[in-house]
Amino acid sequence: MTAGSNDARASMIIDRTSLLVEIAAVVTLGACEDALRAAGLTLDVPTVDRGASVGSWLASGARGARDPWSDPADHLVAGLEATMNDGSTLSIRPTPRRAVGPDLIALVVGMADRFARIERAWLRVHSLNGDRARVHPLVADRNPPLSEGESRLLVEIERALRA
Amino acid sequence: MVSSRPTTALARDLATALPDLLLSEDAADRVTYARDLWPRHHLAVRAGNVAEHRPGAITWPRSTSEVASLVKWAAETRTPLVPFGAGSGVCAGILPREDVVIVDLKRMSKWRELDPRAPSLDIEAGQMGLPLEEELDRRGFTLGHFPSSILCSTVGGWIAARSAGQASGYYGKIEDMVLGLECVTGTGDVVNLRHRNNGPNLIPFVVGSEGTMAIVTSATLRLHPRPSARAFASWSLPSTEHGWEAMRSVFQAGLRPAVLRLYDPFDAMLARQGAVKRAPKHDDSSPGAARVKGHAPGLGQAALRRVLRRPGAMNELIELAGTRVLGGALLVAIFDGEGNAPALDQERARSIVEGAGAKYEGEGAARRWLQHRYSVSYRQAPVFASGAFADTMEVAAPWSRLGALYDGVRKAVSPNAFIMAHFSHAYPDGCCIYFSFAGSADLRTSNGWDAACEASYDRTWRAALDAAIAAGGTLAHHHGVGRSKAPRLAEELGGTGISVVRALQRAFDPKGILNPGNLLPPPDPPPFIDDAHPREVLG
Repeated sequence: MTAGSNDARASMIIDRTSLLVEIAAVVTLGACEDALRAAGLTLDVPTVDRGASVGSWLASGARGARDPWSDPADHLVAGLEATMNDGSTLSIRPTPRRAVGPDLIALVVGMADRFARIERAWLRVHSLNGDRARVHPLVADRNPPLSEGESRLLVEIERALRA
Repeated sequence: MVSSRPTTALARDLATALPDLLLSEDAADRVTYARDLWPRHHLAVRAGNVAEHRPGAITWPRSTSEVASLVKWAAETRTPLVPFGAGSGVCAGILPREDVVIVDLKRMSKWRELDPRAPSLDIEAGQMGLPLEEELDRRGFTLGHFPSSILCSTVGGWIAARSAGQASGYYGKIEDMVLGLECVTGTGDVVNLRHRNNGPNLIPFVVGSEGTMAIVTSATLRLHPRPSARAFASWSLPSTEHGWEAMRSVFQAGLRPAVLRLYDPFDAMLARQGAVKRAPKHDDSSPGAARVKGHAPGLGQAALRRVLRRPGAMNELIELAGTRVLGGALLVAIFDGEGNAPALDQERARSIVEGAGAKYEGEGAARRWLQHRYSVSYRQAPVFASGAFADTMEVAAPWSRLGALYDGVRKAVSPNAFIMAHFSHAYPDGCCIYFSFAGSADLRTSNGWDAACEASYDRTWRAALDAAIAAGGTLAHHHGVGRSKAPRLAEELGGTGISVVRALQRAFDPKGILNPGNLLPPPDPPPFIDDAHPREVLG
């Protein structure tokens, strides 16, 4: 993961009503968390590399974040802005859920900058010491290896985006 | 495998290439599969135009290998295929033409593997909703997915449309339940996609793709233990805004009611009366009695049509009457869980909601809602029978934009249609607003009742979608895009977003044979919607 900027407050907007933070991808997780804590909030990421930038952390799949299966009604990324490899800008407006075709957030989060580079993101934040919901645990492999078919599709996606 | 000798070249070619595939070109089947439940189709049917855009043939594959063979044949012959679940979509996702083959997946409904330890279920895509939940219940589990369409929708349809169930507050939407997918891409290849928390996850490209990326043949879905306890509550609130503030507080406090539904004052009045018509008395049940009592168009429907010709005045009246006359907004809650957890959660919610100015109304409204939970979708028929139209629109936004979304859409729709709303899918960071609207013909703008109704319908939708986008909302929370909203998709995703979706389609379906014309704005208006006045919709 690449290191990022420590100037968090200049690069983030907190939406307290929605408990979302809009943050520039270059800000480090440490700087982001410190600024949020000063506002009584937290990303609530149990294990985190404080020096990593928000963008590189998301691109690597947000390792250390809470298991999304533990609270199906919540999520980590509500929206984002990314620069595609061809230089165009992909904007996904923040919303709790949507049904407008394929979820393009999946083209960016966890894809290690293969197709696009994250510029900004709207992330869920939580009140300090607030309660977190937790449903019945899921016992399943949540990070299986890529299959041959999936690898082939990723190559096809890369090719189609270049065309 | 056809019951009689195929008569069209399309059916002959297909029957020759895949002789064991169940196939029909019967006229009745072709009418049946000519559309989904897009309400604009109802206007066409009412005008006497039942189904001009019929598919050339319908197939019922029984296995993934049959689907793969069919797709390979279609790719070689460049024959468009439209995957079909149970046809309950409401956005014109199904709108075939003579050269299209419909792929009905309902013959594929096997349970492949129930893993009680996970718990999860690998289930074929053609499984219908209600039998799935009933069987899971018998085995001590639930998927937790209860869409209003559960009686007429399939697992594959839920995945294609990115569906939401009524208990999304606890169990999430369908995209929160998919651990794996088996699907056939547009090349005929069978691929297995697996969810990854921290790496490449291709499932979200297929979920919500509305049949345009791949044909889903089975899904591995996360299950939950069947809840052993349940708690109910309902409250009245001075205003809709008080209600959504209460919902926000509940979800942001970490509570996850399976159901938390807020009705604005008019919708609340209907909900308080019960979600369905009372059953006819025993001596009223003869067909003749039904006609006499007004089940066919009559005075009540004429009155409804007259009222709907001045929707603006009616909306203003309701706005003024709101709390005092109609009894304010209504919030109903149901908590699922084990032991005393639901009761404890309900007590916490009660303290939050009543702190926000709500008055506790007991369990009754929530219990009544549960009893009639699937009935409300069938209330549109009398509106259409009266000569008017009705439809629903489900949009979503972060909490901070919800007020602008609610006000913006109501203001935009109000001159064209009577509008009400409920809020039935909440999350910690935002909420879905489910608008219901009803309108009538505006004879000042068109000649003839049916054409005027269609024009009014289109004008209402255009205004509503423009307002939703302007307010920062998303165009659809769980109904999808189909062909009805496709022309507006670029306003949400931007030019780059549209290009990316096109690229994904090329990657999954290089020859563009899977439900072509659906989801994305077409370069030109599709030529085959000759009973739906596409230029009005697309304009």
